[in-house]
Formats: sequence, C-alpha cells, structure tokens
Amino acid sequence: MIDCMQISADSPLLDEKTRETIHGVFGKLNQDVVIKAVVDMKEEKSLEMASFLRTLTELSDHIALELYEPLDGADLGMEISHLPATGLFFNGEYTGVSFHGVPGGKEINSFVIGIYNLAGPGQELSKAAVKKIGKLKRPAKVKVCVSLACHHCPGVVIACQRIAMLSPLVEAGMYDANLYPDLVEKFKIERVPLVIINDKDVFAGPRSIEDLTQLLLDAK
Amino acid sequence: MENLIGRELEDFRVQAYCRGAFQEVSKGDLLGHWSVLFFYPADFTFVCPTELGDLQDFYEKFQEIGCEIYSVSEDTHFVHKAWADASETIKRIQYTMLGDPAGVLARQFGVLVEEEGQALRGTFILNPEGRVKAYEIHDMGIGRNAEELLRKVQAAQFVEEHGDQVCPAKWKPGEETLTPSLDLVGLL
Repeated sequence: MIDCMQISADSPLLDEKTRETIHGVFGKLNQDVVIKAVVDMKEEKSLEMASFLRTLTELSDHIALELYEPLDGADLGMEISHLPATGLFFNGEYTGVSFHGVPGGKEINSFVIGIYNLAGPGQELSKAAVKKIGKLKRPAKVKVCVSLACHHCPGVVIACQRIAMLSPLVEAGMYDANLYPDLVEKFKIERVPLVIINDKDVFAGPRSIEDLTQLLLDAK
Repeated sequence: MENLIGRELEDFRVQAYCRGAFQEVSKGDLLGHWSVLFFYPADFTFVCPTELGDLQDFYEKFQEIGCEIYSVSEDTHFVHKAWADASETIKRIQYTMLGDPAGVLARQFGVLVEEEGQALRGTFILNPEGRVKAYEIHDMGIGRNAEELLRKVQAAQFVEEHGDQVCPAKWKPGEETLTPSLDLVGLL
C-alpha cells in the first residue's frame, strides 16, 4: 500500500469554495466509507487522482483512503484495467462502484453524490425503483463512458452506481473516455453518456434509474 | 448561399435501374425510412465506380440501420444498365441507381452544373419525412467515404431520436482534467 501521507492534500483541482461545498455535503455522512484507489505513481493522471482523493478525504472523518500500486490492487475485487481506478468500499466490502480517471469537470457531482448515497442519507428513491432493482437476478458490469464537460453524464453515472449499491450483482464504473482510447475505439464512442452493459449492449443518452434497471433486466 | 437543412424533398418521378431491372421511383418511395441521395457526375467514369463500389461495401450496414441508398447521375436508367453490364464494380451494386437525365433531382438539390449536364458529388441524408438532415457537396474530382457517411446517418438518426440530450464527443488524448464544476442543485 502507498503511504497516503506522502501525497499532497492540496489538490489544485479543488478550490476553497468547492471544498467548502463538499465539506457541507460530507457533514451529512453518518457512516464510514473507504475509498480504495489503484494508481500508477509514474503516470500523471494517477498522481492527479491521488492528490484529489487525499484532499477530498480530508473533508470528512467518515472517509478513509487507501492507495495501491497496480500490482497490489489486483485483489481488491474491482476493475483495474483502466487506471487510475477508484472503488468505494462499505463495511469491508466492495460496493461495485468505481471511477476510472479523475472525476473533474461535471463528474465531481457523481463522485460526491456517490459517497453521499453510500454513507449518508442518500438521495430519495421511489419504492417502485427499489423494488425493480430487487428483481435483478443476473450479474452485470456497467461502464458509463463520459466526458468531463458533459452535463448529461453525471445523472447517468449516479443512477447506475445507485443500482450497484442496491444490487450485489451489479457493478457500475464511470470511465472518462478521453483517457481511454481503447474504449473509444472498441465501442465507437462518439457521444456521451454511453452506457455499456457487459461489454456488449450499448446505449447512449440520459435515462432514469428505472429505465437503466430495465436495460439491466433485459440484458442477456 | 442557400441552406438546404430541413428542406423537404419535392415531388419527382424518375426511372431507375436496380439489380438487373428497371423501375420507376418517386418521392413516396423515399418516405418512411432514412434515405441517402448520392449524386455523381456521370456513368463510365473512373472515380465514380470507386466510390459507388465503396458504398456497395457498406450497403448492408446502411440497410441494417433502416437507410436506403439511391445513387443519382444525369444518365438514363439504360446507361446505368449498360454500365453495370460493362463494369464488374457496378454489376455488384444492390442499391437503386436513379436516372436523372432531365436534371430534376440535381437541380432540386443545387448540384447540377448546367453547362456540363453533370452533377457535383453531392450527398444528401433525408429523414423518413423526406427532410434534409445533413449534406455535403464536393467538386467533381473529390471522392467521398461511405464509412463516414454511415457514421453521419447514424448520428442523424440518434439526434432525431434523442434530441440534444447527448454531448458529441471529440476525443483529444492528453487533454487536461477539467476543473470540477460542482452543481448539486436538484441532486440533494
């Protein structure tokens, strides 16, 4: 494990005003969450992410941070083929929620809300949506490909990750497509948000949590 | 210069050659599905078979997404058949080749070079209502790319279905991380 104390807790990505706002949201957390990130400390984006996370975790006593080198991260149970990879862990278990890339731009919203949904009161969710998520019986891995400037993207990331939090069968990761040309090439990504289920079924555009759950129910 | 986006296809009736047979094609045949009108200068020229063959290579993919292809030149349907009989490339074409000797279609889309009686290389993507959603016009010698055309039709279909609720992405490797833009209004 990497010694977090050697990482700067003053990320230039988070200005004072943003830190204050996040601090306000994290003030509502009532349970503990552990952020585990796999970073390649030779890579710029990983260094950026490490500092971003270190700065963020300073804003709440309910959040702990663990940083791993790629070789040590293989046992975490999360997808680490696209680094930096960051997973949310709750009660010692991987929640299925991950972020690949640095959640800057609009994606700061999905990152903060993801933690709020996991360790805080969480966003309101209808009973019908919860019931529908409970019907999921097949494992599914969801990639939500985004660009950081996309204002439609965080909503889809938040919804998919909410499903993952409520269903042990579902994993949902945000992928900053700009960082991963292999994904752009493989899935011919020309627009975002793009939801990819099990590396097979591809859906573009914003959708509600109910619609996303239906896509998962329909997935083969 | 006039913009053709959104313009509705006008009534027309022409003769066409398709898979060894002659047929009449009118506006109604282009409605109810996506269409591409693919103008080229003339039969029996060199660049034309190249790009018409390229289009044939992707024709199945166009059909899969509900898009029909119509090539158009200022030749008659008889000349199209003669060309198909003479050229291996043209012989394998499965889409409909419209004959537009009177220039009705080429004039309608602004691609007719009157003094030469030939059409510029214009490509027009029409939605199922017959309205122009995208187009490009090249000078005579500049060829087109069927794969890129397929991408454009798919993009046009997507926008028709989803409106502006997606962000077009143009990936720039190595782009800097955007400064976080926190806006929790409506999220909490």
